[in-house]
Amino acid sequence: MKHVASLVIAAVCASAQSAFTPPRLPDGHPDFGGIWMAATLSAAFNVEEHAASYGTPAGPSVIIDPPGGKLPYLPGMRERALDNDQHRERDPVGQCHMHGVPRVMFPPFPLEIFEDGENVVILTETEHGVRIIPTDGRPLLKNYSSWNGDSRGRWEGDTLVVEVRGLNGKGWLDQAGNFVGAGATVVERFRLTAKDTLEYEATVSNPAVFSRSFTVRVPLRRRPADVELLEYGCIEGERDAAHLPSTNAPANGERK
Amino acid sequence: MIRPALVLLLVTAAAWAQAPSARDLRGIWQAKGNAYRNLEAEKGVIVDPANGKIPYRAEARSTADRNFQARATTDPLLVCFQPGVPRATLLPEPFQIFQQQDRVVIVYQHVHSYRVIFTDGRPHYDDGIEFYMGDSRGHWEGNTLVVDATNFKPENWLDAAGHFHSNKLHVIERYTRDAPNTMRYEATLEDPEVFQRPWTIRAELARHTEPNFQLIEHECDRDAQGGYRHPPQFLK
Amino acid sequence: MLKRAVYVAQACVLGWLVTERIWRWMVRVGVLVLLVGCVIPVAAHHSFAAEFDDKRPVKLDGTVVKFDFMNPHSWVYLDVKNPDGTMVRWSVETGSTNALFRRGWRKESLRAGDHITIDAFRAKDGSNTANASTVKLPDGRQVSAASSHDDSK
Repeated sequence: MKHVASLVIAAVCASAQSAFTPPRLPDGHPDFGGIWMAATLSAAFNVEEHAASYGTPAGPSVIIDPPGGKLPYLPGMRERALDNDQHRERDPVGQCHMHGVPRVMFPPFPLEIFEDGENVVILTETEHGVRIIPTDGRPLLKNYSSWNGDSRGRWEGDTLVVEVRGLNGKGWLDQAGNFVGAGATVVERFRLTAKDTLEYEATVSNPAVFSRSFTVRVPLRRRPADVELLEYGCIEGERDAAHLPSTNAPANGERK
Repeated sequence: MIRPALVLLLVTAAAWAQAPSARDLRGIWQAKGNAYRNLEAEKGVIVDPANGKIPYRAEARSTADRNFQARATTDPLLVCFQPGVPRATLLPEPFQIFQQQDRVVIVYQHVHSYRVIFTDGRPHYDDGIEFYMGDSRGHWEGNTLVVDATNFKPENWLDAAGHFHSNKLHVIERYTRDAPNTMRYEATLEDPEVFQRPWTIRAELARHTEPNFQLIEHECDRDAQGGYRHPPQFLK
Repeated sequence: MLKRAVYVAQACVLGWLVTERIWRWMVRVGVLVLLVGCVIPVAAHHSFAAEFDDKRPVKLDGTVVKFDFMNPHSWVYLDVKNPDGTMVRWSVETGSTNALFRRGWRKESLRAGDHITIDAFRAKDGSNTANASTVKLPDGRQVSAASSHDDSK
């Protein structure tokens, strides 16, 4: 009898510790609301493992699949990424463009997430960017081409799964020139794993650029309660362009 | 035991999904009319003063006239500046209103500009920082959302005709949903450096009711020659 | 060496997070506080390496002509006297307004006529343009310019 009791107590304790119960909205879904920022700032510089260089801290790979943490580029594609790396003036973010998915989720600037039962909205400080993700089951747009994509969300238990289409492929994946290319599709997964940790994963597929899909994971940490997004008017204040080498270069996926 | 719990769940869900109260401004809206072209020239936009003219200080009127002459090349919107307040509300482009417990968020389709309007009583920023879309704080008066906007950058225009303001601009907006699919919008502008006295504009906003209507991306593109353009989002 | 860098980085992050709360209070009472030293790798919206050369440091000692408090970078326009007595106008970029604001900078933080010294890195194109690392203020304090660089190297 004593053994059964301790077994029951152990089981109850184990289950209480293993599952984090998120705060919930009236509709029962987890509440991701708040100001968040990537816990791993180095991913913004390079999603693969990289050493430090001036202006760039060292960092591990944020690619959890494939094992080995390297982008599964098709032959010839890594050369394009390396060429981008030698021409960072071509980074579209330098021209104040929205970052694209998944890059938009892990810059070293805060972002704000809130839900209202019909939409999940992500406001990013960078480029005063916006992602409005309907969760009402409406269809995706057809023939759409955009920097931040067209997104639709659905719930799988306490995980928000977002399908992203309509990416124009001009965005880079990080500052090192990695890219996803035109025609890429992304599936994101958002899950609260602790009060102040929003686990973010993005699986990217593009058979024209990669030999298989890959997944990045960048946990987001909640910022202190009184942090607010500040306006980031990039185009209004851009004065670097005149000092960059000529930026008249074709976008990824357009080079023959 | 289960049945009352189920009833409670259904009632909660119904409450969540019920028809909007008058204080529910959520949805996608767009201004009617052409106020965005010229606040003075479009009839009925300026409701105070009664003569429909912006009460500029003398030297400011000259600046407005100069802006008008050069508007084809110097309108900040042409070089992808965020539209500012109240110009963003009046553009011929939709915007979406979201409401949370402590803030109202307005996302404008035009260059994906947005405003976070805190409604929890927190104060404005000090005057050491300026924003193109201003710094907004809101509260309810009856069924009207009253928004107080300050901390504006000085370089923006109020419409396509070159009407302008300084960084002393202070705007008080009033949003009142007077019918299921229409909203009355008023904005009182004061700026002691540019205007002799406050003045007020009025516009009507209509809800977008088309099925599955959504904002689409409106990004500003910069070509190799440094020119700006707004490319279409839909491929052939 | 790496361990030390990690400790420094952790201390910096902690220090930044703690003082951010103090800053927000100070913003409300309008007190200007400039944080000394600690730099988090606050990346620019674009890569430092695209425009600036970390092999070409420059120390600019001069008088502020104008301070543009803006995104994506604030700009300090500085008149610097050459050894031969001629004056040169330098354009020096700092971090974004948002990064500076969160470190206590305001649009009045630098005024025309202020005598300051900026440690910076020159632009690759040879123009009198530079990316600021730290700024020594008129009262002698050395502050971070919240630029796109990392001092944990």
